[in-house]
Amino acid sequence: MAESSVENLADFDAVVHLYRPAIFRYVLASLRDPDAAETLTQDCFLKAYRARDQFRGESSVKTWLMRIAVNLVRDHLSNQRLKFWRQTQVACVDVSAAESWLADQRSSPEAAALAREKVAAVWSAVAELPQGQRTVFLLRFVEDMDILQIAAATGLKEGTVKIHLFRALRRVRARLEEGV
Amino acid sequence: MSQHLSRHLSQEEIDGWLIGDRPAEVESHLTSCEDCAEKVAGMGDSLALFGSAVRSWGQEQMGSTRVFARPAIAWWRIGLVFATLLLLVAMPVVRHRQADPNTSVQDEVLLKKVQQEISQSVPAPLEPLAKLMPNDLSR
Repeated sequence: MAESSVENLADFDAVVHLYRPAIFRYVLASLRDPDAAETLTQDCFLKAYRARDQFRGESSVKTWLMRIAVNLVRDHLSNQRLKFWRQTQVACVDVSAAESWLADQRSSPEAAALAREKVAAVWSAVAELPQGQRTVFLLRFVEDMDILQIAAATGLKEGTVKIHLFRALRRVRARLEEGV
Repeated sequence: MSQHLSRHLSQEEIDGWLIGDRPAEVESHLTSCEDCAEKVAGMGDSLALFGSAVRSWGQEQMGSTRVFARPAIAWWRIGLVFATLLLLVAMPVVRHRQADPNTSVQDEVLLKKVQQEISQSVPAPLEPLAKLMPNDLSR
């Protein structure tokens, strides 16, 4: 389904169909808790549905939805505070779970193992990033959003987004050099 | 017009490239410098793998979850309001109809009795005293 066909939000079912995977993915990667991700994704579309008349098309629908999701994740984390990560480690998804979900099947077992190691290293680095850095990192490298879109989705200035990304990359690189 | 860099890319330039900041001179350098191209590709590959893994994982996790249900119009609430209003209007009517049919007859009798007592010049309890008094005083 073409993104342009749902930009006016008239067909909200189409909007949900098109953008739900991205919203769910972002929330899941941020929280690492499928149940919470599902709940916040529902909340995101519920908020969007109720506020659909206020959408003026100043950004894309995806950016607008992502902004709602970013705020929901931030609120959720601030409610959970430090308890979140402790609970996540124990009760929710294994932090290294994503490494086994590589769509790209490597040509040899060695290459596949190396790929898994790299993903695990990035995962663990992302887990330790401050919330702001983690958010922009996920939007850039999972959702392929550019700096302007990330700035619109997070409400940050472009310069701040870049600073977050540079710092996040530095930490990720350090972890990769340690682990791989 | 692009310029060629006479040095290797700094870490900041490589990271800038990865986050989408892509000046022409960096692009030009990457086409001619294998070392820098390898550094960018190595980090870029790890990031691409990470993105791919998270997308696949998210897709798998989402597969079993419920679909968004848009908030339906709360017809039951509207119905409840109408039912309450109907009840408020109907209750006095029903009560009136269900009232004992003898009640109105009894009311009539009581009213007549009251009228009768009011119309008497001397109240019934004082009638014995009135009889003892002279006629001119009792008037």
